[in-house]
Amino acid sequence: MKTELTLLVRSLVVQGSWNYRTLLGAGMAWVLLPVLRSAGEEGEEALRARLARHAEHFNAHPYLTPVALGALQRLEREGADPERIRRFRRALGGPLGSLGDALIWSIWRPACVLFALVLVVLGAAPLMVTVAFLFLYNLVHLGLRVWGLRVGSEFGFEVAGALGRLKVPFLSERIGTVGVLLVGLLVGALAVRAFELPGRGVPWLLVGGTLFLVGFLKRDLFHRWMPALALALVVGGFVAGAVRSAG
Amino acid sequence: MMGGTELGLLVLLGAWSALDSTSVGQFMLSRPLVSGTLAGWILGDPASGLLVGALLEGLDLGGVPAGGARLPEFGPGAVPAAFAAIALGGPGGLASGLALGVLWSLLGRATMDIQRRANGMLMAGAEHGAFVPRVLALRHWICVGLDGLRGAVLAGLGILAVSVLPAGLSELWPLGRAGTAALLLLPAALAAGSHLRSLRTPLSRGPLLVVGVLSGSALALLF
Repeated sequence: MKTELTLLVRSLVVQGSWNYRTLLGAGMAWVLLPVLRSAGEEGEEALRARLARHAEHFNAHPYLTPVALGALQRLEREGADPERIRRFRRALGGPLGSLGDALIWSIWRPACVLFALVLVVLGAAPLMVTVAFLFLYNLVHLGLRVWGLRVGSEFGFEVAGALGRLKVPFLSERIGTVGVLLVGLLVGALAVRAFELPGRGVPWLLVGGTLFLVGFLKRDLFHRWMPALALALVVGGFVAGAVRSAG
Repeated sequence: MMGGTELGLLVLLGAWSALDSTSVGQFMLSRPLVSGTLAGWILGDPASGLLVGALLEGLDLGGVPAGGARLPEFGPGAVPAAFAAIALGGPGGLASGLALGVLWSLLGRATMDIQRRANGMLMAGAEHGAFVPRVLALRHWICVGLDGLRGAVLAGLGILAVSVLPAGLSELWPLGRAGTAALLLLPAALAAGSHLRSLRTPLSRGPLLVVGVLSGSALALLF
């Protein structure tokens, strides 16, 4: 229990030494350090070898690293074959990365952000918006870390079967449905706010609606042009203001 | 006028945001909505901090940081953005805050890239058994410390940039507060459309989208 708690807390800093060569590798070795000290053969060289094995290239979603950490600590304690641990580690990273990206970065985080933005547009107090957003988001975040460590420790080499029980397609489908509803809520609330603008509601609504459609139809353009568009609007506004005041 | 305590807290907030975005926890304290609001609190105007944070959040809606993707880092940038919105004041301050937030998020991305390369140098050879445990742990914490320092410097430089902006700049801004918010929300409309597209089978959920729009309109009329 104490080991699991230590791993859970240390897993929060697993990305501390994230780099382009081994990605999460060095961080994984650092998180597992207390386990590696107490498991396996004694002696400095044996410990170094265990540490090096876990510092190899590894990539996963940070919230799902406890799955790998739980399984790896169990295998090290049981004295599993080092080559088998290495192969298992390599095989596990990819699925943990794609599961987390699909569930958290693509669906859950945007859903929580949309929820918070709806609250902002509806005029909620700053404290309420930030607390609601952080509470909702981290409920799933921390829950996933605790669950991951538990299943990893329980199933060891067989953890892939337990991951299947997460029902990612079903979950992403459901959260995606909520995401569509939240986009709708945000658009509806913003449309009403646009109408409340003195005399200019309809033009704002038309321009905003057109951009929404452009974003929907030409998704790939978005990342490239978003910062430029925001900056152009501000610079354009200041130039227009300067010209007006000079005139 | 901002005092030393406020400045120190804002710089610490910048460090915290940078750490939270990758190195430590990822509790989403680094979202501009949160860091902007916290910066606003420090400066005594959380509502303005929230507004500029929400505008930056709208821009980042479609960003997916999968597999070490190089995305703008909005968290530490939201700190000087909130400072600009509050210090310059009015709609012009809000517009300046958004522009600074965007610029600083791009600067954040560039510095994060350097940080990750530095981490690679510090950890070079770890996978070949180059380090005893104590050295590996020390280097890991140096990486974390550098990331925090990066965020603190980013926030501090942003605040410095705001303080050297010419006086009276915000008075040049031609729109009122509501018009400004509407204008600055336009890129977020693009991001919202893009995000909707990224969700699976959005067209088959058309009726749900309509229900959402109607509910959102009703809620906005009520509140």
